[in-house]
Amino acid sequence: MLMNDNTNAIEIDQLSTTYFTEEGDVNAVDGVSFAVPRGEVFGIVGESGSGKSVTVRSIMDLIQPPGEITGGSIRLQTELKEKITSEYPNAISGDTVDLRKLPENVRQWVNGREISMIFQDPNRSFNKSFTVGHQIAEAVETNARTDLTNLSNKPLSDTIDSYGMFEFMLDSMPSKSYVSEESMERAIELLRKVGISDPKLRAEQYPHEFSGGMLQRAMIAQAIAGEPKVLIADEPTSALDVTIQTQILDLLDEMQRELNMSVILISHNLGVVARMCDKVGVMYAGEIVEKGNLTDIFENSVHPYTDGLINAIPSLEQTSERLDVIDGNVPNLIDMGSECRFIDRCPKAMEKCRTEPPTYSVDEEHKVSCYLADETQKSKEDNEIPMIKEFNKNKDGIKSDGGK
Amino acid sequence: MNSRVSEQSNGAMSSIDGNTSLVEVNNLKKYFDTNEGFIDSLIGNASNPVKAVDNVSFQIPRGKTVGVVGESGCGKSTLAKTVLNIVTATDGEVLFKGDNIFDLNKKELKEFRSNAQMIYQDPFSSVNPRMTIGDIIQEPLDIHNRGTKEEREDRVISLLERVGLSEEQIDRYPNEFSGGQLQRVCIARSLTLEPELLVLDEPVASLDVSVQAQVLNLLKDLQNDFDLTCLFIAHDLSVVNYISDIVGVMYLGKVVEIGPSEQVFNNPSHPYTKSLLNNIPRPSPEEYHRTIETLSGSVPSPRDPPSGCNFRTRCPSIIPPEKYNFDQDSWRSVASFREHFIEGNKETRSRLVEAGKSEELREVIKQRWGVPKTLNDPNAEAELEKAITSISNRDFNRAEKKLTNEFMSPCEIKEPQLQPIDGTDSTQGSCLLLDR
Repeated sequence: MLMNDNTNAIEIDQLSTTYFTEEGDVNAVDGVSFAVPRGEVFGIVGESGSGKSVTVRSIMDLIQPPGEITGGSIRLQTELKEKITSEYPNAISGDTVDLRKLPENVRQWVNGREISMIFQDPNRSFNKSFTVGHQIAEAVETNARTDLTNLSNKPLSDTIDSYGMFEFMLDSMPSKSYVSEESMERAIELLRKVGISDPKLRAEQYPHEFSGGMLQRAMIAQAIAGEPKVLIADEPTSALDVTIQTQILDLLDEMQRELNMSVILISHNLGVVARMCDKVGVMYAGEIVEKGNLTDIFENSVHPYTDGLINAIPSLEQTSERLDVIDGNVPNLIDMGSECRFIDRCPKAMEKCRTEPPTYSVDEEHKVSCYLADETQKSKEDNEIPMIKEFNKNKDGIKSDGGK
Repeated sequence: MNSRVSEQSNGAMSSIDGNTSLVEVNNLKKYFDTNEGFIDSLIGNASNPVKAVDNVSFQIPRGKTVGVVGESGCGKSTLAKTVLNIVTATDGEVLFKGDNIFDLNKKELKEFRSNAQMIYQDPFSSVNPRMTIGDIIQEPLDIHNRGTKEEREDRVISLLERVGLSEEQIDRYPNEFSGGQLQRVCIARSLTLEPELLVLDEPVASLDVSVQAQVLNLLKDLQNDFDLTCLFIAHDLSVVNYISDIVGVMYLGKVVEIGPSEQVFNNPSHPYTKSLLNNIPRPSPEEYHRTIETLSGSVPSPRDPPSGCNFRTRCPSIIPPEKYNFDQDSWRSVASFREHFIEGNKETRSRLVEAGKSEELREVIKQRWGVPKTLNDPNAEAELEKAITSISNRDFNRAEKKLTNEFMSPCEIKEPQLQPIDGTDSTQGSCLLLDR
C-alpha cells in the first residue's frame, strides 16, 4: 500500500458527540476536525462549555451515557499488530486505524499504550486508598500484561458483568498483590523521571501526602508508563499556582521531546497555549471556529470570537481604562439552529450569518469558520486587482510593443 | 502593647496620609492553632500554630483599591476575612475610620458590617439556592431594617438593573443563572446597604475570560459610581494589575512587597515578585518556549516556615555567605543540597551513602542538586569536600555541622523587614538585598 506523505500521528475528522437529555439533544461537539503531526503540540482553547473536554474524552472513548459519539472518525497512526489488521480490515484506512471501528476490548488496549491522558485535578484522579507508587505500577502492569494476541473476543462490558461477589472477595484479599516487583521498580523509575525527589519513599506514600504539583507530576508519570504516541492533557495546570505551573509545563515539554509524543493540550489560558503549542484551535459552542499557528491566532486572527477572547485578558504590561468584552454568554447548545453559533454575541454579525458559515482557508494552515474570512480575501483581492491590472497592462504593452 | 503596635506601624507605610485612608491594618496576625485547647495545655502539647497572616500592615486610601496577590496558602483569603472580623484576629488592629473593629460592641459591629461587605469566589455557594434573586438581594435590607417594603423593592430593582440584569429575572432561582450572572447578583447584594468598604475574595477566579472581563468592568464602574473602597484578593496578577491602585504581594503569611501597582508590576524589586511576574505565560507568539527561571520546590508549610527570610528556600537570589566568592547558580545549588541534607530524611542520606566514595558521591550530588564538580571558590570547595568526605564515612553529624556552619546564608539568620525601596516611601519591600 502506498504510504501517505503526511506523518500525522492522529487525525480527527468531523467528530461529533451528542448528549441525549430530557431537555433535548445537546451537540457538545459538532463536526470537529484537526490533525496533530508527530512530535507536535496542538492546543485547544475555549471557555467552559465550549466542548473542548468532550472532544478529548471522545477521542479517549470516555463518553458516558446519555452522551454518545454520533459521527466522524479518529484515525491513529499506529503499529497495531498484524493480527488486528487482518481481523478488523474495515478499521484500516490508509496507514491509519480508525479507532471508532475497533471493538471495545481492542480500544481498551489502545488507551494507555497508544493514547493516554492527564486530567486537571490530580487529587480527584488518583485513588486515595492506594499508594501513588502502586497506582503507577498498576498502569505499568496493565500495559505489560494485556497482550493484544491474548485478547479475548468478549467485549470488556461482558467481563465486567461476570464480575461477581466471588471475584470481588478474591480481589479484596489483603495478600493479593497484583503489582509485581518489577512493575513497582519501573514505577519508581518513572517517578524519578518526572522529577520527584526520593522516589522510593514517595512511591510508598498516599495521594494526600503529595502537594498538587507533585501529584500532577505523578499523574504524568502514570500517563507515560505505556510510552504512548499521543498524550492528551486536559487543563493540566489549571489547579496549580503559577510558579508550579511553569514547572509542570517544562516537564510536559521535556517528556514530549524525549518520547517524541504528539500532545493535545487543552486550556482556557491563552498564555499556556502560547507557551506550549505549535498549532492552536479555538473552540466555541462545540465547533473549532479558527485554527492555525501561533501568529495566525494571536496576531492575524480573523474570527471575532478569537479577537474577543484575546482582548478580554487584562494586560500585565499596561493598564487600560476598560477591557474589551464579548457581550452575553455561551449559548445553550440544545437544538442549535443552522445559524452561526456566535451570532448573538458577535459585534460584526451580518445578515448572511443566519446560515452557517463554511470553513475558509486563509492559507494552508490558517482555517476560519466565518464569513469575515471571505471578506478579508475579497479585500485582499481588491487591493491586488489594481496592481495586477497595471502589471497586466504593462505586460500587454511590452508584448504589443514587441509584436510591433 | 498598644504603643508598640502603633510605634511599629508608623514605620511601615507612613507614606499615605492617615487622614485619607478608610482602613488601616496594623501588625495584623492570625494564627490557627490546633493545640490550643484546655486538654492540650493540660497534657502539655506544644503549641505550633499555622501563621496564616503574620504581622501584616497596610492602608487602604478612601476610594482606592488595594490588591493582594499570592499563591494558594499564602494567607490572602485569611487576611480578607480577618480585616472584616469574620475570623477573630490573634493580634494587631484594623482601624475602620479610626476605630479598631476588634473593640466594637455588638451593636457597633452590626453597624460596621453594613458598612463593609464581602464578595466570595464561588457565587453558587454564597447564595441560598432556595431563595429567589429578589429575596437574596433584599435580605440585607430586611436584616438591617432599612426603608419601607416598597422602597426595598425599588432598591432591589434598581440594583438589579445597575449590575446588568433585568427586572424580569427577579423571581428566578440561582440555578437558572450562569456563574457570571450570579456573581452580578452577589455584587448587587453587597451594594444594597451602600457600604464604603468592599472586600472581594477572588471574585472572578471561577469565571471564563470573556465573562471575567464583563465583571471586572462592572466592578470598576460601580467603584466610581458608589465611591467604593476595595480590598481585592486574587491569584491572577493581570487581574490585580487591572483593578488595583496599590498592590501587596504575599508569601507565607507576610507581605513581601507593597506599592503602587504600576511600580510593583513594571519595576518589581523583591525576588518573589520578580519570579511571579516572570512565570505568567503571556498570550502572544513570543511566549512560545520562552525560558523561565523556575522557582525550585514548592511553598513550605506555614506551620513550620523557614528561619530568617521565609522565601530563602526557593529564592533564586539567595545571598551567599560573605566569606566566599560564589557565582549565584552554584551557590543556589549548594544551598539546596545543604537544605535537603540537614532536614534530610533517611532515604536521601542512605542513597548518598550507597553512592560510595566521595568522588561518586559528588556525582550523585551534582545530578540531584546541580552542585558543580568543583566550586569556583577554592575555600568553599575545600569545606564542601570535607563535608562530603564525612558523609561518605557515614559521619552525618559532622557533615551536618560542617554544612550548617560553613554555608550559612545571611538570609537564614536575619529576618528582613518591610523597608522603603529606592528612597521612595510609596513602595516597600522586605528583602535583605535591598540593604545593599
